Amino acid sequence: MRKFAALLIKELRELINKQLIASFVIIIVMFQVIGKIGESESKKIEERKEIGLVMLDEGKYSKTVETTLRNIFNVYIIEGNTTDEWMKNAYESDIRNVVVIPEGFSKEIEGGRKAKIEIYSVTKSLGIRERIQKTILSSIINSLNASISRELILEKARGEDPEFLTKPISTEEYVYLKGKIIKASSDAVFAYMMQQSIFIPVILFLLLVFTSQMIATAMGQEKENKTLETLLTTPVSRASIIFAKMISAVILSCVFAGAYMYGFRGYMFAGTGGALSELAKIAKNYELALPVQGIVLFGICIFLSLLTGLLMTTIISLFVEDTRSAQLAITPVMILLLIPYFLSFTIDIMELSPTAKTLMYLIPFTHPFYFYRFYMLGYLKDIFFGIGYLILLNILLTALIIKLFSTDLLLTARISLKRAR
Amino acid sequence: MPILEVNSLFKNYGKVQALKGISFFAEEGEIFGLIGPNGAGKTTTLRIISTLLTPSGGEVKVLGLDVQKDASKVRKFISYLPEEAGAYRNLRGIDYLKLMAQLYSDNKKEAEMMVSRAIEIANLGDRIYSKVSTYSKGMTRKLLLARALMHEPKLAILDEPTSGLDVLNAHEIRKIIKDFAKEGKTVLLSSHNMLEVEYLCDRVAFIHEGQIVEQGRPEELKKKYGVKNLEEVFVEAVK
Repeated sequence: MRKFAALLIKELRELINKQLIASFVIIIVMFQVIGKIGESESKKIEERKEIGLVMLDEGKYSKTVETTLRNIFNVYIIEGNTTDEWMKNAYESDIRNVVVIPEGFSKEIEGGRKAKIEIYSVTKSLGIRERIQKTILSSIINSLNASISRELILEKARGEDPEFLTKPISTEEYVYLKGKIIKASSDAVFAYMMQQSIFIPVILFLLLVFTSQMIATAMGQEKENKTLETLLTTPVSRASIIFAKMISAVILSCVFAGAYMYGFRGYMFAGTGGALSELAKIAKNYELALPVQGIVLFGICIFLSLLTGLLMTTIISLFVEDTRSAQLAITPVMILLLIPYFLSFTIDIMELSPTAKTLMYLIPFTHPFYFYRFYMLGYLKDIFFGIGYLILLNILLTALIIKLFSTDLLLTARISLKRAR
Repeated sequence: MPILEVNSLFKNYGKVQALKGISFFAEEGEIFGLIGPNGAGKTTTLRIISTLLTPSGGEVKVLGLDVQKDASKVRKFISYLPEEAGAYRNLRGIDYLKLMAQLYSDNKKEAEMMVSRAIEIANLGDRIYSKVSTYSKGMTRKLLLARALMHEPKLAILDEPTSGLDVLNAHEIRKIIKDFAKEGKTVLLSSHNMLEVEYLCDRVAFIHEGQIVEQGRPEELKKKYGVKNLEEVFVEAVK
């Protein structure tokens, strides 16, 4: 144990260098800064509900339009005589939407004909603020239509309820999931489940990328600095040497991934606290979050798949000659990781043909990526199959590493960028 | 009983036969030199004895232990210094020695003794507290040799110990090796520097194209071939 501890400390000291610390700090600071900028932009968007108005009509329905707009937005009357002048003034006043009520607007409605309103979007940056402002346009039109039709109903169908006439149907949404009826919109439930499904693969993906790179680099450094041969002739078991490398990589990658996710969360959810808490309420009320048993199973699944990735990288990195070829050597593991990573966002694995499904199941990283969905949808057989498969795969890979470590391949086989060139 | 026995050792790399049945032995307190040109099979032989490579045939015994079957036991009694060995560049010299001492020792006290001995052998003064990455080639080699000898191995296997070093550093290294053998320890070294071998070794074996073409005491060999130095012995032996 004392010798193993010495090896572990040595590996950590080798891995923790200035570059690693710098990238660690940059990741946290970068996401935090981006998150803060996003948050302040979101606040600006919420605060700045302003709209420009050009009134060329003096009729009563124009007044209705103005009143409706004033209830929702800060209305600025735009001065000018031509469209160019209105747009120039709006642009200079930083107003992104302008409603123009043309002359004769009220008369058209009074005559029972559809009246036209012109809505101009002022584009300055194509940024998020403008994209969100555009969604405001549809709410403007809906609000104006609702106000005017309410007034028309009151005038022309006295005694009738305008609310009923404009919206005779009311809806209540339910979602049937895992034998339970959830009173919530499918959009909200889907959004929560997607958030869970996306978050988990991202963590695993980051963990594996960091860990694989560290292991391959550590092995590459041993060969590049010509220290491996000396280490292999010391009275320390080969298993200790290799596990010290793996465990040190896992420790650092956990810290790294934690920092990354902390920053990422700050970035992702900046200014969306309200929406999140709403989702969290639904999740709590309807048990959409993983229960203890699910968390334990997920922990086992993610640990086994991480171990599989590490063992695979270790096998490949045994043959690398230097740190540069080490980076290349992890490519096969990354490809295996990327396939389910991207497919988990787009493909419903249960809808695949048996052959395609089997192929997906053979990729060890498929199982944690789909775990949340499988668990929530009650596909426990698939989860247990995945865990069993990962256990078997890990046993085989460990046996292979031990076998390889006792052969000459460690010193005689080579993957080198120099030779490839 | 010899400290090292090599009997009919073969090693193949695919179709290439690197060793073709070589045999030799080394006694306690002896410096044994394996001499030959590049690619003759010296490093392969040393790697097999160091438990790094598996032989294709024959047997190697260190203190009566088979290097294949009892590899983990053998590693306790040997130390190996590869030709182009390096140390962990992020560590200071002293930390490197402490790390290696921990791997060879069973307790803290033993480790401390090994480090003290290594500091003495390396003789790097205050530079032992500098990072390895700042060392010259000669300083690194002395540090590595100190590492190889600090746990007082029964058999020290040194591959080209003075390769690439300047005259002064090479001289210092040779002195360290001589002193170590005087303590009753066995040294097996490889070299293609005939003069160095003649100065250092009690007995030598000439290896050429995977075969030992001649072996014995330097003086006896020179007498046998009627030549002035080992270089000429080698030339005559491979004819």
